[in-house]
Amino acid sequence: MKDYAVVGRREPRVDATAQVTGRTTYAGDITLPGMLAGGLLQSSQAHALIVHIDSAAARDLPGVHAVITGADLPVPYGILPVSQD
Amino acid sequence: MSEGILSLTINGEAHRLVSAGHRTLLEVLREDVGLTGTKHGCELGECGACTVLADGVPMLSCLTLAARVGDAEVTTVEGLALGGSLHPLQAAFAELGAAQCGYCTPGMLMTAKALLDTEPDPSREQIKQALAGNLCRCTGYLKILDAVDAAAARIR
Repeated sequence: MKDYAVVGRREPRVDATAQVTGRTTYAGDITLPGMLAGGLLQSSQAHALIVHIDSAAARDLPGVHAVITGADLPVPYGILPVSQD
Repeated sequence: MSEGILSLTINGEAHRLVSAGHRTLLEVLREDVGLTGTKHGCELGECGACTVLADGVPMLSCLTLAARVGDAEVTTVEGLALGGSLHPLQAAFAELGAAQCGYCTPGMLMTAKALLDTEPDPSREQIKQALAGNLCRCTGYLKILDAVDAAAARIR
């Protein structure tokens, strides 16, 4: 087999050293001033039509800055175009 | 819960911190000491991403209260490199492509270090057994097992 300069050779990955030393920064490793923490509340139903979500009680809790539901977004759910039809 | 003074030895350095008694070792390492190399995975003791060593023994830092660590010497992935050079396990993982996204890698490395410290010439089966509590969701395990094997050979 022809001896290629690149094909068939092992090349170290550019991010490998950072990964094995714990220096790779993932989203969860970032802390910024004034950063808020968020949580997801998933549906209690596997398949259902959302008629209304009453988030008033959650919004009123001390320390809560925002409660965001599909009603606040231009596309209420899904990230794939097919789910937006 | 009340706050107290917490004394920990991490990677050979003494730390004194004010911390609430309910905080886990993982939270203290990542949020108070700033060592984010130890990863927050399932918080259920299933994935092994948070594995650190306490006196050389693998420990799930997400299930361990920092206050219970006591005098044990804690080692994290940040303490694995020897001086300026990578530990043979780190070098082997990097060279052999044993990390893809890298999220499970710190836990894998710490568990593997504990294995090689007690068993310098482990069989494939012993490596699999040792790493059974560390989940990887992207590379598959073959390259990881190969890397531990290669590192063991280099250390011997």
